Amino acid sequence: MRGATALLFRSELKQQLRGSTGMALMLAVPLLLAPAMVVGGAFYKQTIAPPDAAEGHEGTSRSVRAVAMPPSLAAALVDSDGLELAEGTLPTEGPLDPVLATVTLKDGVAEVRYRPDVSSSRDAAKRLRRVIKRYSRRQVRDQLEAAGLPRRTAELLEIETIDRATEAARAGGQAGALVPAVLLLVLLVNCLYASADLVTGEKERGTIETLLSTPLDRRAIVASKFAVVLLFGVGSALIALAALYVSTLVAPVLAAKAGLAGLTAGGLLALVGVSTLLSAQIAAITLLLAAWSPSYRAFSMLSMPVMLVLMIPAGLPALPEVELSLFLAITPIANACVASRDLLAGTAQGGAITLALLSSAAYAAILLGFAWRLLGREDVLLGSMTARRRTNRAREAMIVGLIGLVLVWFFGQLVQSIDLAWGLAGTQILLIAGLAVASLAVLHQPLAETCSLRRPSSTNLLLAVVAGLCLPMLGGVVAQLQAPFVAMPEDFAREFAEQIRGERSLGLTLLLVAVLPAFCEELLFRGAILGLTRGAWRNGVRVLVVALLFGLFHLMAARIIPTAALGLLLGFATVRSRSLWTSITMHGINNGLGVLTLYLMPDWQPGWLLLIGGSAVCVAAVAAMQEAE
Amino acid sequence: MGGVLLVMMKEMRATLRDPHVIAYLAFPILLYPALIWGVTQFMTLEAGRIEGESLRVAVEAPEVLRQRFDEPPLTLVAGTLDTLDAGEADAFVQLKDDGVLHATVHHSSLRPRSTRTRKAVRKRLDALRDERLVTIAESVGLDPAAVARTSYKGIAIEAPAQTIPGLVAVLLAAMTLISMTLAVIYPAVHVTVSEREAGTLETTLVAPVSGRTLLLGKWAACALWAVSAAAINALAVLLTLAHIAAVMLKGALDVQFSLLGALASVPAVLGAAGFTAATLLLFMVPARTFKQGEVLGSLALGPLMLAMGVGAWGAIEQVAWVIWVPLAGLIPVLRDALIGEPSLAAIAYQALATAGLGALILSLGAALVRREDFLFGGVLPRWIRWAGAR
Amino acid sequence: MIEVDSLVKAFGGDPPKLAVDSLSFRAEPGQVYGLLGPNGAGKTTTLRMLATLLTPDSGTARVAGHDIRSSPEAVRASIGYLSGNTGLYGRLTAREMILYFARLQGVPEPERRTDRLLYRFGIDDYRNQRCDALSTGMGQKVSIARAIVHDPPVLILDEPTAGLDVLVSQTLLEFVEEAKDHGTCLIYSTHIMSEAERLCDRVGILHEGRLLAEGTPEELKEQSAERYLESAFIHFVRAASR
Repeated sequence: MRGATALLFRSELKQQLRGSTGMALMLAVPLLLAPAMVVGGAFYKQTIAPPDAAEGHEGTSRSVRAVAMPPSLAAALVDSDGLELAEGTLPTEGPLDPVLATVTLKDGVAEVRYRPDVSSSRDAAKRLRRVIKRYSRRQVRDQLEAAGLPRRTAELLEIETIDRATEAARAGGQAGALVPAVLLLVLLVNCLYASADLVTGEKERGTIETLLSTPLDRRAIVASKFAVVLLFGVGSALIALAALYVSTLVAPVLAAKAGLAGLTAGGLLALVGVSTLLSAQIAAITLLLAAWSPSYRAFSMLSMPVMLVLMIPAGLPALPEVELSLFLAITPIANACVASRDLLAGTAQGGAITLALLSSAAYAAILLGFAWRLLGREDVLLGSMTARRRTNRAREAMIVGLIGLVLVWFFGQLVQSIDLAWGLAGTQILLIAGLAVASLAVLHQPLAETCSLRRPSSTNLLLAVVAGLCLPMLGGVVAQLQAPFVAMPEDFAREFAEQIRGERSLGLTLLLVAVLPAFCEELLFRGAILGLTRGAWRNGVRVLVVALLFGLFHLMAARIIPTAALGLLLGFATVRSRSLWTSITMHGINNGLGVLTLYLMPDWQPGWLLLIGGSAVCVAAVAAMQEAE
Repeated sequence: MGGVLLVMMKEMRATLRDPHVIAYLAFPILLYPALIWGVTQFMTLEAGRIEGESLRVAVEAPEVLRQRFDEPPLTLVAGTLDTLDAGEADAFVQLKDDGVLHATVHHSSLRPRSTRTRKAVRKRLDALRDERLVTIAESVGLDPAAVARTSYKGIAIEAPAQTIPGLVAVLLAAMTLISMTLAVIYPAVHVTVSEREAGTLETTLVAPVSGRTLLLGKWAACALWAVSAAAINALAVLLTLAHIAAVMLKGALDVQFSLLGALASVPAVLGAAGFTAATLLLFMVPARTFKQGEVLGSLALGPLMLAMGVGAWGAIEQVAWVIWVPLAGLIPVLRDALIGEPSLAAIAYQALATAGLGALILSLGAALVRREDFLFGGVLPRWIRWAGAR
Repeated sequence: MIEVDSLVKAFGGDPPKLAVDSLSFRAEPGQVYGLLGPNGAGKTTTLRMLATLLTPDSGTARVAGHDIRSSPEAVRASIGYLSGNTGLYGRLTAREMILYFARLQGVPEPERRTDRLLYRFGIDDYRNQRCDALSTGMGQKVSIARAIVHDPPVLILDEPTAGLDVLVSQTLLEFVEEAKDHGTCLIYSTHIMSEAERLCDRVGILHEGRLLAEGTPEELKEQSAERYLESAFIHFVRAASR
């Protein structure tokens, strides 16, 4: 096994290294990107970005801004403000000449008028803020002096601010805002190309059949391909880091302007570790994508959107407020990006970094596992030849789920913001239940059979009632468990409660929040979507996927996991009892209990014993459900 | 003309049956809400976390003053500079009081929480100073209002075109044009390189239709595709904006676009679609394989995206000459049309300029490219080796 | 029906390679003219010039009375062209594919003509299936129907059986015989001698762009004093290489 993997790895690597495009990408992208960043960054800082007037950095301002202000205020002007007095008003349209901003004084308020669309006007307003502060201090001083007190009286406070972060660390933080984006881009380009060539290309050329006809373990094939993609990713990251470092050495002045002066050999060395984990995640993603694509064409059309989405976390390190919280530490890709910045700045905290590294490794392993399983499937390996003969409708089911998400997002929330009661009812009946019925009609699938709309046995119905009564406890347990990572916003529960109660009667609320969702949401999720995936995956996978979709459907990050947990039990109940009525019962009772608690005991908090006991009963009840014949 | 229509209909039909292209076209409808959702959820979580945290400050000061640092959001912790360096405190304040408050605030600018703490400490110190000032003022019989600080109030003066609808219109125009360009790459590859690879181009070329008819038909299909992509994208942007306005901002954003203006600018958008389609088709001429077609298509994107960038910049910064640049000027022109101030002359100019350039590119292509080059591709000099060329 | 007059075609490079070197021959209606040659002999280039896909460097040819240089569109209207390379539009259905070409060719009543061809080739049951879902045999039948949708007097077949199995090739060979009886003038290029022996009335042996020998299969065998066409072919090619 090991010998075979090594042999394959060497052969794959040799072929990749001989491919001119792959090598060009690996070398050219990072080598061109590094100097481009240094020169471009310096150019941006020098000519386009406004000077940091508000931060009060010393030094002469780059240019002078003309402003109009009353003489009393003008007396507070000093040279370094870079402001010049001028006469005139501010036109509402067209170019500004010469006045960029005006100030009027009224009742202790200095009103500054500026044009937000003109950057020099915004800059002038920023600078005026400093002048007004100085003026204000002087006014107070003058007042006290007039009252016969010494001028010094106003100086009641002297503040000295000392930044414990060293110059080098600050520069490191500055560089850390940019470097992760470069790393991510280089990694993505290279891993995408290598995966396309190693998997999709091989499928198209038919050489994968040759490979499979040898007595090699499939795991060896996947492992060797992954290793090559990983190597290309890490290699390109190394080249990028080295190129950046060399650029800062060669052009230190430009690099400092571009905010890259803080790159030290030590910091970059620490980044190599992070890049390896980032590469592992990305290599696994691209391999998965390549395995799934029947042709190079399909792969390349898929890869552009994927690349776009994966590049989004690269912006996070540039936001100074963002820190490696527990939630961020377990968010894939984003964790590695923010960790890179913290490592460069030297502010990395051991616990968060360890968690980020561990979760990155775990994600890479999980994704790789998926890629391995996918590559083990014959229809996937041999491309589109056999894949066409599909009997299940899993893909259609996922598309129905996505359509539902988009509908609820665009229209559901919109109508609910106009009128909550009608909006909720309309969303449930038209968008959710309507989508279920319409999609089954379009796909020519029988409604009752696909959705398991058959009578449950009385035992199962009874068990469903028991499970439904205990279901809120399970939601509670999951919410408590996820709290350290993803906290439910405090005012959400209260606002939601107030919105729901409003001036409505208990009956109407029960109808809107318990009865309708029980029927409509179950019809779509445990009915149509779960039904359409029948035969595509094993039952556990089906239920899990539908549960996650159900969690996403509630459009709130903090509710995804608790709702998905409920969805898991509802799904298992449907699958075990082969009847949608069990999950409808459970869902209705669960939501109904929530409404009743809200109306009757708004401040009630269940204890741990009740939470855990209830959850156990709930799971047991679902497990006890029996298949009807 | 009938031949052109026939070819166009066939190309449209074949492209519409490719699920990948359809997915590509529908991508914005998923992407925009997902992006907005992701960002707002992240911000909500972060805001919740920041609001819930206590800012720990170690203070070295007389006890009365020290206690003033134990009010929310600040929490007093024991310790000195070491606690700050160890990360157990977010700031360390040394405060001496000899009538004047001498404060030394130690913080770390690299730790976001420390920066928030520094700002909170600063506020607390200012409050302490103001209390003293009022006491002093009252002791000499001065009105406390006289020693109140002059506050800063920024008032943004907005030109009609520069109000929020104006910026939103620029966003809408730029996004729509960009996605129009992006969406036309694959159809352009489809109708040229893919046909070359599949051998169907040879089949078509032996039919008694002129090369010009074939070229025009393929171009018309690409242009129509570009227009549909633009329409779908505009719809996605508008729906997302409606969502943001109604659900997130609770009606605080009121953007009304002029339907008449939008309709008036249709010719210019059509011209741009024709121009984009012609440019991408021209770039397909040397490609032999799908891969090369894709690379060349991406190359064509460079100048087109640059034009969009110039257009958006010109629209935001009110640069007058930009509206005369074909394609780029479409962004300010569309902006004006959408906010209800359409300049018919500018629209007509953009429509004519882009359509004229498109026609020029098409006829240039038709004149330069011989029939057999159309069949085989690869008319560029041999020293240019294309990526993936065999 | 087809008169080829000293056609020359060279392809780029330095020095340019002569793919077809002053080639001349004639083919009559109701006759199958076979172009025999090894790979790279210039068969495809010749046929592409006759189909006006390529422009000759010098020389010309008349197809069904039209000059390939001065009236290429008229030539294309009177030929049917089928090669091992010509493909089908995978995302069009069989019927849409034939109908599209019927319209491109300006056939009167294109729908009726299409339906008749579908019936004639026994692909009526597959009319609404996409071409990429058709079996090779069905696909080949659609290709043939596509090539003759306008009932051309001349058919140009460039290694049409390349990559086809015996059964599918059989359909094609039968179709060629039928077309010959119908009075169509056919040009058939191949390197499979058994096909040539079975179908061709006259054979031209092409090697490195030049016509080495021409005549009926019997005449060629006689000239080379060989028993089989294959041996005759090898005889001529070896003699030319010497």
